[in-house]
Amino acid sequence: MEFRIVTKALKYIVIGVFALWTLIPLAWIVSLAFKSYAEWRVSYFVPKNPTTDNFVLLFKPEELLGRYGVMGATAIIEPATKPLINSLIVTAATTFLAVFIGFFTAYGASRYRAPGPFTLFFTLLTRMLPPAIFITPIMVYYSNLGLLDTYFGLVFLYSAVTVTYAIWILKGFIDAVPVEWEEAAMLEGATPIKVVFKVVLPLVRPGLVVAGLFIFLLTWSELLFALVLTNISAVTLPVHISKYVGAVGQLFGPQAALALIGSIIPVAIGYAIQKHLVTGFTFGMVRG
Amino acid sequence: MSREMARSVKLLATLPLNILLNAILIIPFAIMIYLAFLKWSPAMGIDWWEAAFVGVANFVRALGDARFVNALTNTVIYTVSTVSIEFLLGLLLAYLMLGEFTGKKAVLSLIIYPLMLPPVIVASVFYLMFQPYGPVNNVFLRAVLGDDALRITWFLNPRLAFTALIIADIWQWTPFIFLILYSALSAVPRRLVEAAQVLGASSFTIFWRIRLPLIKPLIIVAVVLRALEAFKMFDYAYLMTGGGPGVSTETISLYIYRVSVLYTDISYAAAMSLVVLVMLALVIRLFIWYFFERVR
Amino acid sequence: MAFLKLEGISKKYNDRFALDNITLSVEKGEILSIAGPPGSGKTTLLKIIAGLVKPTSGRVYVEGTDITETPPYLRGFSMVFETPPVYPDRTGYENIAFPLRLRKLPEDEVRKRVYEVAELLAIKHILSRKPSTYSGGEYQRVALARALVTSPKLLLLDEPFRNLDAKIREHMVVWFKQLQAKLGITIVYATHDPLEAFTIGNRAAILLNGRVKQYGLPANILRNPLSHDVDEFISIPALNTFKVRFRSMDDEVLIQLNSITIRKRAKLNTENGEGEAIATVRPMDISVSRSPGEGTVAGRVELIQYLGANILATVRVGDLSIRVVVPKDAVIREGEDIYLSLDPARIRLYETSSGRRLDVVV
Repeated sequence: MEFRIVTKALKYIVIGVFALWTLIPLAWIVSLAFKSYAEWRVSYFVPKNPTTDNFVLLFKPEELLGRYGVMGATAIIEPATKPLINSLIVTAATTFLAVFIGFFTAYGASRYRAPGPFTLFFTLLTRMLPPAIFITPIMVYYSNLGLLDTYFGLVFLYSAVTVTYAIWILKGFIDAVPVEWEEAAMLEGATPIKVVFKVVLPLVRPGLVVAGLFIFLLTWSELLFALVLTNISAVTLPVHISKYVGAVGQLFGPQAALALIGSIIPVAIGYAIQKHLVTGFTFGMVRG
Repeated sequence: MSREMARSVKLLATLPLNILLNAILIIPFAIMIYLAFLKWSPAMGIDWWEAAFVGVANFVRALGDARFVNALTNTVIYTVSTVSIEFLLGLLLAYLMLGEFTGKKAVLSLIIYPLMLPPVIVASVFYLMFQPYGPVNNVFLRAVLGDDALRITWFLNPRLAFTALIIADIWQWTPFIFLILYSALSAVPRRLVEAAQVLGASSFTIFWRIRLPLIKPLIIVAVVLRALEAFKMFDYAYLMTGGGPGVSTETISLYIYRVSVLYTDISYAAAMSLVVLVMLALVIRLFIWYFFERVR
Repeated sequence: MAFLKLEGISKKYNDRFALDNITLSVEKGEILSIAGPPGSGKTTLLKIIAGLVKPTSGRVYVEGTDITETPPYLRGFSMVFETPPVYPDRTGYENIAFPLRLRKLPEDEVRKRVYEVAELLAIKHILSRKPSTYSGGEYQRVALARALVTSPKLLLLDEPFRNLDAKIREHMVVWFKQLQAKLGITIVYATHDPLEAFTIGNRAAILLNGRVKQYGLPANILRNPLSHDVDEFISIPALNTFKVRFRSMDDEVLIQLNSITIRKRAKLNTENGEGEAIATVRPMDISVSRSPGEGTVAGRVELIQYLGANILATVRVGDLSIRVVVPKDAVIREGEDIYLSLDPARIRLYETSSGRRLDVVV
């Protein structure tokens, strides 16, 4: 029986170690985010004089000179406001578009087998291939169409790439609605279009939420295409974050502060998804 | 379906939208194939449809390009390393988390939070972690090397840089494998588990002999998904190491990105992309054949 | 004029006729039962009446108007399916109110009608709850309420009580018939259970393989099936079927079953005066006794089965196995000798090839 206790203790130790390993980076970032310039390169965790300077610097980079007297060998990176707003707009628009199109496609796929399995597989394919493969032609294509550095360009691309998820998630939910209920609704006075909007759509609301949250998360995090396709106007948050990493002068403090700020929305969404996914991750997997 | 009358209305709602969207992907794809057979770069001052046709020159160049091969090799090593380590860790963790205990919900939430973070941010975070005065060196300080540890510069040493990337990946993605395996393991019918318990099987035996074999298909799904994602990796390499030192941590996504955006050697990038695509398609085809079509 | 009329309705799927030339009519305020085994086309027929399926040929008339081309959302009918629409994410009230909301009725009108219907079906107390808390009977009543709340011209029901427990089902069937008598709604009711069909329907149609084989008052159909397949379908417990030889003599028919001879007062509906045929007798039409008597046949009890109110005994007579229904309190054991007798009026003859009824009662 001692063996039992030992293994149990071991189990908790391992879990504890893992929990710790997960928390340390977070702790370091929090610590750095509140350290003043003088402490950006120290190795202890708790700042001696915690300050919110770094957060200010994210939005008012000119203050670098004022507060710390640095210039010249330091990158001055634009305020984070524009990238934040751009990300919000682009991500929200993408989510709506992808879920909207995904819903209709999933409905057709569920009730009419159209689009057929081939098209559905093709959409799956878009997720299996490295995005890097597409950047070359998209760059050229968008350049010719004048879509570079625009909201439209980003939103269409992101929607095209994430709609697969919407389709797969929603199709499962739509399949679960008995066709008889749609037929009944037709007798209850609903035209076929009304059936889609007043019967099926409300009944799959949880699916819409899950798909929406998931697509929002993915799009918010996207870096590669944003790097390639944006420059000044449509710069998104991930691009902005990338400017701090390895920047001239190594602005560790603001870098950490931005990491914190940039995590708020994704983590909130992540936990929202967790709450909504009662049946768990395997719901979508089991179908495959 | 018995609702023939609604067909026209419904099809109108599904197909065109989907196809229109695919115009964003299919046409560029076609363009890419065309570009691969040209010699063109925006720097040449002409439009791409005016560029000269060079046949398979780009492909030949790609196959002989040491840097291309290097990028592929790096990517493969990276993929294999991360996926295998994540699988083992994820499995171990899933096994340990199977019982009930106080605070389990909290621990569960904690474990999966790295998954929610944008990879950009994780890259940024680990860039900071691996700085000379960062906690990684401090941990080493305490454990192994004494004060010398503070002088280790992760990003200046090819092997260490590669390792740093792998560590970041493991930190973020082990929870992914964990989540899938844990959900699957929990979903094993209680009857089977209880029957084995009644027969006196240890929890390890139950795990190894009953639960694990039952979730084999999901294991495959988890591993394949993760492998596909690992192969695509761009964010960590771009941000943390920039592919360096030299090209020791340059992944294929990063190299193609460089060629397209920095060197603007568009047609060459297109050719490389196609080569990678064909290779991946072959691997996926082989995989499907191996797992699904062989007579077992 | 009939309220609902189906004329020559056929439905073809690829090469198969799901429905073949159906002609039926339903009077206002009447219940028409459609009885048939699974796959016989009942659901297809109901869906055609509802407008959810277009017939390959034939017309549908309501009060004289041809509605064959009218879409379902304009017909003013209601249908209760096997899996009726009771949306799990909302309350009973919301579910019942749904069709009214579709018509954009004002809220107080909606409330009035929902409560009216709920009162009628005795489900007022569950209106504020969600369907996951309902019992099977309550669930079906909510479904019914939803179908009735729009005061439909015609109510179609497709095996509405099928998924209910047997005892509850009996109760619901009776309750439903009383409800209909109160409301006076015209109903077409489909079921695979012939007894349920006969209990509920004012008139019944027996649908076999896409064809209406017999149609009329339930009592008439029961007493006088016109084809072998109908007889088989409506007889519960299962019929005794024998191959016999027959000979017609004046107004009697001589039926020869192995060594047993039966004389029935009937005329034959066939050219041949004699030949081979199929004869059927229902288990409950055969009587048993312990001692021989006039016209009895000796046999040995092979098997005893318990069926609710009665016992079904399988009796061996020569090389025949005959099923007989015996009252429950009769003490009967396997292996016993027993004597069977039959009222000849209860035996029926059918043509071997077509199943057509041969004997016509005089």
